[in-house]
Amino acid sequence: MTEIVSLRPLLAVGAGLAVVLPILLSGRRPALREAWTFAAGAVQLGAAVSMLPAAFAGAAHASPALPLLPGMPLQFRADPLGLLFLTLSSILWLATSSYSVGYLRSLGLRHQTGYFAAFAAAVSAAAGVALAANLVTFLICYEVLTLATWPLVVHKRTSGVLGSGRSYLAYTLIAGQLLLGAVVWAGALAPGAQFTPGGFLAGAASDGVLRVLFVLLLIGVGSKAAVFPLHGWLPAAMVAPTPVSALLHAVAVVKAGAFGVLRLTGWVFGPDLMHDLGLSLPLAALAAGTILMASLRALGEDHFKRRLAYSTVSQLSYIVLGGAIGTPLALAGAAFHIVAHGFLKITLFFCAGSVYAATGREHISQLSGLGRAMPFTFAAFAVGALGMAGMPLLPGFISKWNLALGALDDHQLWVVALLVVSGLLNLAYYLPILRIAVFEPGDDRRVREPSAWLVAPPVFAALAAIVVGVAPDAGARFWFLAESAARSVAAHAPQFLTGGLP
Amino acid sequence: MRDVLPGLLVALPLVGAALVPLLAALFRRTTRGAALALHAAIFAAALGLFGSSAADGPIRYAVGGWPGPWGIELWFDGLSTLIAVLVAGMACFASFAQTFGADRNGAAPASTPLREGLLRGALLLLVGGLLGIVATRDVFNLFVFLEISSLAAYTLVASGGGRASVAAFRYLLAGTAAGSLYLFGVGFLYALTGTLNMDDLAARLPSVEADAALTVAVVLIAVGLSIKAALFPLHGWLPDTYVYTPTPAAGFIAAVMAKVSAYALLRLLGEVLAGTTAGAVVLEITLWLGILGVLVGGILAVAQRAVTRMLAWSSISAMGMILIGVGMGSALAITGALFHMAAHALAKGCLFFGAGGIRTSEDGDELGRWAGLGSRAPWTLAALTVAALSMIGIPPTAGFFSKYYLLSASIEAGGPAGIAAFAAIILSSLLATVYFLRVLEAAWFRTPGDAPDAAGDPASRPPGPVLPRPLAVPVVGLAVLVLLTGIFARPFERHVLPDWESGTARISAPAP
Repeated sequence: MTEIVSLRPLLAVGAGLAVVLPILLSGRRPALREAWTFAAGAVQLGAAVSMLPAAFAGAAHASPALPLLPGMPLQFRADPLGLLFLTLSSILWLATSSYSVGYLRSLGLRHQTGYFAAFAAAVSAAAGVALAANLVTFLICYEVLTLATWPLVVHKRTSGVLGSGRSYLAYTLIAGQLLLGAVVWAGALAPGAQFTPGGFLAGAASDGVLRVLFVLLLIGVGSKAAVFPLHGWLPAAMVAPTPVSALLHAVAVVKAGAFGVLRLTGWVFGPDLMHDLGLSLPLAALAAGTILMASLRALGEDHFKRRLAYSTVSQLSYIVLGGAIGTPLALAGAAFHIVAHGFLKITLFFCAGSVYAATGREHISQLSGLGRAMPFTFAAFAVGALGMAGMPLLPGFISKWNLALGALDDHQLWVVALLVVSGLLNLAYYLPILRIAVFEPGDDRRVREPSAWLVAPPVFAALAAIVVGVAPDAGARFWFLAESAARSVAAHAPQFLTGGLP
Repeated sequence: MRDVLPGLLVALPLVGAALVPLLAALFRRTTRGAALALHAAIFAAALGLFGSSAADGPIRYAVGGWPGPWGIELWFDGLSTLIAVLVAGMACFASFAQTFGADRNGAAPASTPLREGLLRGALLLLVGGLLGIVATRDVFNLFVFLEISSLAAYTLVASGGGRASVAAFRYLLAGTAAGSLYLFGVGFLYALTGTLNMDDLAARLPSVEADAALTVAVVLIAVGLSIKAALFPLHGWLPDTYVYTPTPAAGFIAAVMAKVSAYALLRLLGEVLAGTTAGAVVLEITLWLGILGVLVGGILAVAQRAVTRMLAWSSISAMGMILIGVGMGSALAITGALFHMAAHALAKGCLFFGAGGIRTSEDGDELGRWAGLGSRAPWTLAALTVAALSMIGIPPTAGFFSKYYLLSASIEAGGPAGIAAFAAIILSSLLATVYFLRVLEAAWFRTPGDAPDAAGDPASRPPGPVLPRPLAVPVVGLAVLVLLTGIFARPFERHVLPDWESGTARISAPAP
């Protein structure tokens, strides 16, 4: 892959960071404060889009390397996988920002200035995670991401909420320290520790050492990705305001973790080495267990946002599963699921937040009648729910279809069965929400759709999901990016050359 | 420049120490400006020496024109000038903070111009002593400077009155014992080799390698310096001293004092005595004690409810970290140790200035007193947050980089010690996460009423800013440095460590 040295990756990563201070300083003028957010979002999206043509042509923009540690520079590179994640997070950041404006104002929440500042920092860090060219850069952005989201999670500042915040930090920071140790170790084994399609650790150390290293790295990224048994913080973090949960799930924290798992399996170890070390199957089993466990847990959950949270735990393990299987189609499906889940889950969270803003209701059993009172919101919700279950013409179908094909390439029939069961479970916990909302008579006739700030983002996200589902290769060409990321890994994994991508 | 600066660096603070109290007695108003100007000049000299040694190689300076090994020599290589820059720079901040005067912690008598002048003089004397330790190439001269710095430090600690006097007395007992042990060790070395010059000593040591007295000398020197460096389990004097010292001096003493002793340990054990068997064994023991210290300090820091005492225990953990690096002795490890000295000095100075000032303004030191400070003093608390994150080792603050180097060194070293050091460093970060995030959570997210151990109601709080300007400026300035040091330090690194790069050639130059 040819590299173009340019400052665009830095622009994409730095846009959010650059407005943190201006946001904090313009706390007394809300309009100006939010203008900074939107300006940074636009700059980030612009930078991401401007790097797309190069990616379509098979090249990648890379920032100049800033010497930071011996052999480990600070560098950002927009390879297809990173660009896919970056573009997604830029689009969703803008959507979430406008939603946040409406949400915070309609609920009259306090600490709005700190909220928008932390938000900008978190998205900037997520962009850094997306474009990190090596493990050290990844680690730095990853840790900044953890801390930047802490104020968002504990936004309500009550004792119980602070407790949830502590649990969030306990999981993520402990994992972060293990990741630090693992990164140092990997850097000692393979100088530079630069993400390389197909991995860079093959032959760097004995099998035992590599296995230990894999476990450390997996705990590091897996705790953010909420892989069982490291998922405990995610439902607890539902105490955050809804736009934060939306961001956490669709873009920033959890998604960054799942993205990290893909980087780990495809770009640090590589499918070949994973198979040789016997790591693929255990990881796939872990992901499968997480998918089923979280789906079952979601079934019994009446709290609206927590059900969505368990759904995230389940859905993100599809990405882990794809990374574990490692065949080109499975990797492409997993990478595409980053996008699919992003659009769908943010729609669902926006809807849950709109319900809360309009009625103050947080539980699914209280939703009766709201479907008729809030038609746009629940139409968008229906799109999200069906997409999650894997309905054709919605993006979730594309990722699951390719995951299944990829699993068949590796003769893992059970994965197909798993996907079917999980799809049914998805329907089982999403359809009742729609049934209660649409078919059960409501008791409150005064309920109306909230302000346009709160209606437009979910409708936009749902429409975007439909567009991506129908034409995955149009516009930002998410499918092309996912496919070329998988292709680049496969090109360096000779065991997997047969079968898979045409 | 190279001919003048070395003398100036040591002479300026010593002369100033005498001059400033005199000025204070004669013309009251000039004291503050004169002291600050002196500190700035010393800092400039240190910077000049750092630049000069980086550009044109180490500087050897014969005091009074008497060349070594008979005369006293000063030696400025990357290592010593780096520590000199650190000491002189921190002293500028401390001098600025001294305008703050006494705080409520002790029963300090009211500040008078003469008293202020004397304290400023004591700080200058302390700086002079520390810079002397850093610069000297003579083991006995090192003892003299050690005593000068210690005496000045006792004065500064005791100036808090009340409990601070008790802490100072305890510090004095430990410090005197440390100094005596070191002096005994030097006496043995002199009896064995007939020389006090470090280069000369290193050259003559191989011929007395077999002598048991050499082992005694090495052990005495190591124990003496370890007490001053607060190496576990010789750290007993540290917590009370750091907690009860008046804030301006505490920020300085906590930042650099123990580190200069660690530097002396590195210089003597890692360089001069490195060739001896006893030296190698002692270094190995230092490494293991450092590992223990990192853990014990971290665990006891978690157990504290008072913020300054927590910071003091965290310092013991940090000194353990530095001594792990000294003990390992590889180029990576020494880089990590030096980096940690710098990172920890900047961050801990910042935290002590801040926590001390808050202890005064909030009328108490418990965690609950910090509740709600974030909204009252956002800039100060943001600065303290940066320092705390550096203590934990969160990128991109300076503390992350030192941990990175030390972890790399542990992996490179391998073996039981390497694995233990690796695990201890990771664990200590986790412990630091616990005790620092507790403080940050209280400051940013709790309101004064709902903190679990809230003491007193907000209405009874004394009016006024959370931090007065003399403390707020150092706090913010140091936090900025904490942020920048890590990211922009890479180009300086190779100037600091020319001698360790090769791994074997530890002695910088043969004796003339």
